Amino acid sequence: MALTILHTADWHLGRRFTSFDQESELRLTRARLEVLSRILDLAQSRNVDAVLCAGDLFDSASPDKEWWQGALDEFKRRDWQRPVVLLPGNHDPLLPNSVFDAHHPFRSGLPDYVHVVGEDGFELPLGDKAVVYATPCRSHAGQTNLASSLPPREPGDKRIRIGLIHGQTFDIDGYQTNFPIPRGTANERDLDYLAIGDTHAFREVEPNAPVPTVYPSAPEATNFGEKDTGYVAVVFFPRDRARRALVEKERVAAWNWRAQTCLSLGDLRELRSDENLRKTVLRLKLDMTLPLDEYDEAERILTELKGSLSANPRVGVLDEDRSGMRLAIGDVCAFEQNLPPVLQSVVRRLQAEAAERPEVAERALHHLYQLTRD
Amino acid sequence: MLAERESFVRRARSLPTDSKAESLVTAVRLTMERDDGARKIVIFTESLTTQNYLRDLLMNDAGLGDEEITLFRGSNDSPRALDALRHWRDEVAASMPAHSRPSPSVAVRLALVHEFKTSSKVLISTEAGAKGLNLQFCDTIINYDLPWNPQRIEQRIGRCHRYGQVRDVTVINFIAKDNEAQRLTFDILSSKLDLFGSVLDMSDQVLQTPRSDGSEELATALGPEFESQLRRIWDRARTVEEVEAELRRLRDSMEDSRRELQEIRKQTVGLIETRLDESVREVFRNIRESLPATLADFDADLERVLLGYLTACEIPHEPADTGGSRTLRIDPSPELPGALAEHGITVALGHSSEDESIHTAHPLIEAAIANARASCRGAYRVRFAIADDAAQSLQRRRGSRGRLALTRISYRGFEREDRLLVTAVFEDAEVLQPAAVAHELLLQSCRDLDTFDVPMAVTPDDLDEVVDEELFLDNSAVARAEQAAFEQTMDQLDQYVEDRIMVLRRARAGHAERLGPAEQKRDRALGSDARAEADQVVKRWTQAIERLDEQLGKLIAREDAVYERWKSFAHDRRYGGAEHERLLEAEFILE
Repeated sequence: MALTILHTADWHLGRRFTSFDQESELRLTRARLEVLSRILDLAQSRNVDAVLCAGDLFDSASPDKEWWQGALDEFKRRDWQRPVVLLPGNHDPLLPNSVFDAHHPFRSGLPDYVHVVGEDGFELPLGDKAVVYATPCRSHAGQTNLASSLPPREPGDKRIRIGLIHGQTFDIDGYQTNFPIPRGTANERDLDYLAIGDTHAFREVEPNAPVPTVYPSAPEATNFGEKDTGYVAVVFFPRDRARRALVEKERVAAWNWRAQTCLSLGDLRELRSDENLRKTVLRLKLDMTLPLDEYDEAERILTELKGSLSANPRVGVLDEDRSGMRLAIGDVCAFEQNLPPVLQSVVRRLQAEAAERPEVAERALHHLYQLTRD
Repeated sequence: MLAERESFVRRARSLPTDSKAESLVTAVRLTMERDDGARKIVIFTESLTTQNYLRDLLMNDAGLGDEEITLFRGSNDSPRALDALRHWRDEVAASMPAHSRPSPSVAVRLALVHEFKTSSKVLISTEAGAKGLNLQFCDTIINYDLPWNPQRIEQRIGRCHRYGQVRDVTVINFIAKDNEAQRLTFDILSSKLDLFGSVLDMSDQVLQTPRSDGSEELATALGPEFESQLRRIWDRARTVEEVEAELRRLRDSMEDSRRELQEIRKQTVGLIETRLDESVREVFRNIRESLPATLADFDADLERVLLGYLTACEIPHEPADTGGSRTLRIDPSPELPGALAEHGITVALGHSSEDESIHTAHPLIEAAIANARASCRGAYRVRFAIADDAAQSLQRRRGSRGRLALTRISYRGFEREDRLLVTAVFEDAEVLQPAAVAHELLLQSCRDLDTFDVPMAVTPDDLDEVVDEELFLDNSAVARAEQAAFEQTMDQLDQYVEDRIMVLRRARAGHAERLGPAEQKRDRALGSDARAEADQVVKRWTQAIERLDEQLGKLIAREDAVYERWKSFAHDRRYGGAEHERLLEAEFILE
């Protein structure tokens, strides 16, 4: 019979999102635990033979109890036989008293089917047809090639060999490496698949190499600018190592992260017409100077994106930087002409004030525009 | 804001007359005076307030009595509605058999329709009345408010203009003459979508039946899009001129859509006239001429399956003659399914009025098929005769041998689907692809072989491996569509919770607005009694806000039973997994 595994990494449970408001932070942190549930459900649905997590399950070596307890509950509620292997990465290295320490209640509370890579030269047979070799990170940074400790194939060993390590490959020029994984490692160690974790994009390193080396991506993104996140790899190994393993990328994320700068009202209008914003964490930077009527429209679009008491927000989580959105102060003459003399003088004073306190003056002018518009 | 609202109220009150209401009264009077009509009117409005206003108006100005007006709304729980329900139970439901009596909510709807049919003259209905009611005894519809969605207008008209209607149906729409935007909207609804015009008339004349689907299909196709476009125009436009310009553009684009749909419809009607008639004739001819012979062939096949099974399992059986029809007496045998094992059975081969005939769902046939499936695994061998018009990849493989499997994969996710997977592996390890060609192989004529001279090089394990790989890829392909459906469901679920959160926040903001003045009043209260009373008010608002905060906190954390239930449902669907069953396995040679 053939073998199937689910390979995941970089859950970063415990990552805080302090730049967001409390409610948004709660939604994003909750999504991190929920994706764990989705990953294990998917493993069950695809009836995989093992689940391998290639490091950085937690965002730190000593996460708050709510995080390790949440993960522990998720494992304990399943009556499984299929092994799950958890590898300490550089964010959650195997240190004394860390979450992976043998005495920590997380590790000691794990059900039997969950295995922590708690020593160098870890080896876990998957029946008699395959074996997983792994080595944990023991520090936040290091120059050791952890793959070098994976044992060579014994003569006559026909089993499928899967390597599980955390580190950075050398395939991106100029990329600073931490726990480096040299090119060709998978082939050199006579593996059939090298399951790695660290960078957050789904990537098959050296796609044409005879043995796949795969980053499965962070199942929920951890920051803006990360591309191709939100997946796990489901891997099929033909029996008796007859052909190269097949790697399928399966989406599990609930959120898309996106950073966007709007340079004009047109950009903002286009953004509003996007139908996929509800499940998006959007960092929106506004960099534009607008006449009063357009400034007013931009404000209304922003309200629509953020939501109000009468309409739900169009964007799931919005991180808005509007410091670059300015009112064209010199362009308020037409508006001023239709006002009574006393308000005209207010407008002129605000225009003068703009030199000292531009943001306050702009908001006051816009407010006056709204009050007198109708 | 308050001053603005007060000015609206003052302006509304200063209007000398409600000309729309006057027109309604005139329309009702004219309808009631018609000699040839049913003298029944349905008035549709979108608001409960307007519904009450119209009832008062018709009682005061159109000379109608309270008993001549029936109100119909989403929840019909007024004393009048309950009276109607009592009458209906006495007059109609009493004679209905107990098992066919409707639920209370349906009963009250029927009761109000019964009241309108038998005693009242005007039914004033909100949107809730526009679906599902049969009002074909009424021939006048007044759209006091016009919905933006043409589909909803169609539904309103459909209440009266349906099977059973014997009169022409009059539809009266209320439009403000000097409101250009509203006039344009109506123009699109009426002439461009043909809601009240040519399509209804033409389809009636052509097909000789009320309620053809012509206009409804047009409304269904364009309705939601039209409504959302209208909403967008009204939401975004800043001036009446902009609204008018946008509406003109919409009207032109609707005209194009209408033409396109009518063209498609025309082509479809043409196809029905030219092709389907012939197909229907063909079907009838087949039924008359070929069916008896086909059924006889089918019976013969069933008999062959049954006899093969009985013989293979060495179950004693013998033909019996019971007055004309052919029967088979089968003796008791442990090999037989269920109770037949103890008692045996006599079955008819072909039609019989005396004995039970065999059919595809008969326990004997099911047992025969299960037995055949079980026995054709492993050493089953066939020779396929590849047809000259078969795929090239099959033809060039003449002379090749291999092993094949037919597997059924059952997906029970958002889409319930059974797929058949044909896997054929040749002796040189090549897998027959693509899937369509593999399926074509099974359609080639074939016959059984006892043995091959040279043993087959492809082992059952080799075949299993390829089947596993194909199952893996098939699962991945299905997972992509399932994931999209799952994300959509979770998104809808989140929207549901977000809507509830918004409602609570709105209520909280309202309470908070009242709390401030209440606190001020308490702080200024003179005397202990007045202070204690004001303090009670403050406490009441504070507690109400605390309760809302608690509910909000739970919803924000998604600690909600409804949310949990549906989330669990979505997970079960998405991650339910697939089941697969090997239906057939055989060694083959292509000729």
